[in-house]
Amino acid sequence: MFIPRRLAQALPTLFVVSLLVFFFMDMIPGDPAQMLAGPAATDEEVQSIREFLGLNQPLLTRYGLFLKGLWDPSIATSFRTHRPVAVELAERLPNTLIVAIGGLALGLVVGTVSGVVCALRQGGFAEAIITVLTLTGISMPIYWLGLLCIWFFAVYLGWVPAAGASTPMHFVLPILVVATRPTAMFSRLITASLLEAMSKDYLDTARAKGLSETRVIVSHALRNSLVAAVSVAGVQFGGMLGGSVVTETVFGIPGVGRLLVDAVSRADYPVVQYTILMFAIFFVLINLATDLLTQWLDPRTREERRAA
Amino acid sequence: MTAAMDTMALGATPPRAEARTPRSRWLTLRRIVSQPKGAIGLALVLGYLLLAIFGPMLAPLDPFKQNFAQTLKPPSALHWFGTDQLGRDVFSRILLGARATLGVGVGGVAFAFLVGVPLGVLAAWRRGWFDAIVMRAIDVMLSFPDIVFALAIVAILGANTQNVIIAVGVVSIPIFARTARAVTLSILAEPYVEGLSSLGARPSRIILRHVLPNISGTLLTLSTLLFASTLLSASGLGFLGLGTQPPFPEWGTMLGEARSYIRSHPHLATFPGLFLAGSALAFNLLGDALRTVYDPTSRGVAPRRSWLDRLRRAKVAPAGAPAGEGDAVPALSVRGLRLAFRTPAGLLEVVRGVDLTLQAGRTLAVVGESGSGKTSLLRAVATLATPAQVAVVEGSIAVGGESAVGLSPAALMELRRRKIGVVFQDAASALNPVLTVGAQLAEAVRIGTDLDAAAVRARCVALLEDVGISDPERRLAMYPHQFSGGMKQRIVIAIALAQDPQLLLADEPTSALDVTIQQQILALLRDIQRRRGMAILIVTHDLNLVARFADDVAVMYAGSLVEAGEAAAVLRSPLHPYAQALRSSVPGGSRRGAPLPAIAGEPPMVGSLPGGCAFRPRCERTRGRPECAAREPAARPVDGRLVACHFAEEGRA
Repeated sequence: MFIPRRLAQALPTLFVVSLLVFFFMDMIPGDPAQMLAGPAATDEEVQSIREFLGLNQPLLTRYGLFLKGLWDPSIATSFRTHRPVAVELAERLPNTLIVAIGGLALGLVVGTVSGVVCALRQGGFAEAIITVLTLTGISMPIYWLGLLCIWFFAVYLGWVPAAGASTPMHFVLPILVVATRPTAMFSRLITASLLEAMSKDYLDTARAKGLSETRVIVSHALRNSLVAAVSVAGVQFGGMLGGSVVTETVFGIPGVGRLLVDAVSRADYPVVQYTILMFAIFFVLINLATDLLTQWLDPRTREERRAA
Repeated sequence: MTAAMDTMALGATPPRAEARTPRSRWLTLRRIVSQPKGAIGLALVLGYLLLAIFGPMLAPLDPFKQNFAQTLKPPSALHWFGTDQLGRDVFSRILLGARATLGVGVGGVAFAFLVGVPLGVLAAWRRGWFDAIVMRAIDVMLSFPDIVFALAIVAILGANTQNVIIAVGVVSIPIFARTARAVTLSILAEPYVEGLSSLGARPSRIILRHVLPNISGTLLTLSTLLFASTLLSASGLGFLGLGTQPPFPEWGTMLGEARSYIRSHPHLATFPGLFLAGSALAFNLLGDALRTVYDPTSRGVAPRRSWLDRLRRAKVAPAGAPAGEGDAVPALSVRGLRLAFRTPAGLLEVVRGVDLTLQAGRTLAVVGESGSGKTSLLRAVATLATPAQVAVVEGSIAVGGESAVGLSPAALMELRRRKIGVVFQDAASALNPVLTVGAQLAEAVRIGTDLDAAAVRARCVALLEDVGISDPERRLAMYPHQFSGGMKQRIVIAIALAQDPQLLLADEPTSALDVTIQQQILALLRDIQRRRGMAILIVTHDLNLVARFADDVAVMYAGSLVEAGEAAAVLRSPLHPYAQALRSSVPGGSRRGAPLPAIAGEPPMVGSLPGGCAFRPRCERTRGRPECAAREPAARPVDGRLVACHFAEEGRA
């Protein structure tokens, strides 16, 4: 079976990832406990911090504890708040996912439409505009665009709240801003793959059947772009999860990204470790899902899968 | 913030090695500047680089001098971009910050390049365990969102400019390594490189002399695009307060500081953001232009369609259906057809006045060399010639008495559906690889009818049986790649027959198949023609096929018909010198045991035809006679056929 085999392939990656995240603390130059305690700390204080971080236990025990912390929240607690990291993450994850999924969906729809328009109107006015817009979208620092939008829509026009995540209206602006990049990427992808598909004989076969140009494009040319679109969607979704560290700072959303930034600047190492591990697990899962979906969508690879 | 990943998703398709990589640097530069985006991008990039070098010297005021009497002032004559929360001059800080901001980008990309490219090239060269380890390491690194990975590195090493360079550099290593590996692999697989190594060339020499020059274009493009995303990532860290530390200015850090004042003093965020977005745009523009230069697949500027459409409509001759001559309406009637390719240099005539008549139940073969215009003719008759590329300069095409030129899209669809079926040369590419055969066939059956699902299915099964595919019920659920070449061609024929066309067009339908399958397909077409009484127009260069299969033949040379008539007669005793040469160059033709004669000279180049008869330079009959150079011979009836030669009678045996 393919799915278990693909899962088995992902496991070594996850194992190395977990090792990397685990050794994160040992990679910090000097003694993390000393650094956390600060220069003025007494030896006892440094010792107790070391105890708390488990730094004086043997390596294997520490790794075991680290893994155990994945399902036993009492082991993995934040250094600052002393609450289980799992609780901290669970509180914030929904906010992060809402923005990421919303932005991806919006980008997919708008990007596909503009990509089709761009491919069909080559050399026209619409193509020029869309090309400029997509390049701008890709070059735009999200944090700057976010600030501009906050000023315009929230401060100047007063249509939406500027920061926070308490009502659905709070998510409108972040989703719009976050959708910029996926929109631009999908638009370029769809244009490129449509233009490539346009030269294929099977479109002529479809035309010769008497299908309308719209149907030729939607059910033949676009259908073939789907595979590429799925893998870009996977990359974009992962990118958006990662990008949450910036967007959540811009829009003051209490999410996982903001948690990570705060943890890094406050040297809250357990939170940093588990948050990064969670991001990595998400990434591996997204890659897995993307792979499975593309395999399923492309009958040629589906066949290989059956044969293998 | 995964700009790097995006770049990889779109930009890292390794181009084929024979990609016409520009040899000279100046040529590359000219190609970049000849594109608007390239020119703008290059100018902006140069501007930014100058800014980074000279910016700090140009700063009009001390970028660090605080003035609490002058905080958060809007732009003025003294402070062009206003002042920040500590009363410092924003303009001077932006000028000074250019070096840090762009420096981080340059440093990060250089770091990633120097580590990633050798890794990738080595992995491709050594393969084996080294390759496996590199690929696995790349997998692991790509399991982290890049900005999160960079954050982790900054968390480990501490927040300062140097560590940000390392962080954003490390993040890009896998992208460089992966691209370098993929491109190197494709170049190493090139026959000429394989040849070199089998000749005993040293690996290091092959890498230096052949691989590196060929991958440099791709890597240059990738570096430029990555530069834009690295810049944004690095400034993102600055925005989070984890980059260049105050009081040193960096555009991202300045944006981060401006965040607190966005409600009251929006201008503070405007200028650093503008400069940052501008620099990313500059490198993206340049990278896009580079990609166009180095990646041949992204080249090719499509002509303006709307404008050409108008031109086409203006030039089309009044398409009066020339029906009603003789007793029956011919299945196909082409009159005085001239077709031209639209090129940047103007119209290029490929079909120069062709007349054809094809009655129902008959088969007409159009023969000629590659480039003779026969396929353009067929595509025009099939109404598949793209108006943006091919213009009908003059003449008319009528299928079953209905004009096929200058129709509205809806009328065109209707005509294609009811009257025309097309069989393509390469069945493999004529079928959509991601749809089942049943779906593609059902689409052709269903269009323009209101059959229910069961009826459509029954018709599909009947069609597959018609073209000799056994077990049709099961085959409908299969995909094209699960069929052999001959089977695919049968399916294409079934699709073409779905609406009972009066005219079946076939473009070299058997040349991609092996000989025994060719016979089967031809037998099938003949059998179907007999049962349905439709007309077949077949385009081919295979005279044996014509002899066995066609009723009539039209020999095409340089866009016009040089001899047309009954296939048996024309093949037995061709009159036009080209037709004669064509026949005698077929194996098994005239004399056994004699060496096969080849047609002397070069095939004609469209656009640079000689005056007078187009075949003149290769003709053995002309012997410099002035008539041949004076005017192009018109087709005239000789011995029951049409021949376009001033001295056709000399061809009689």
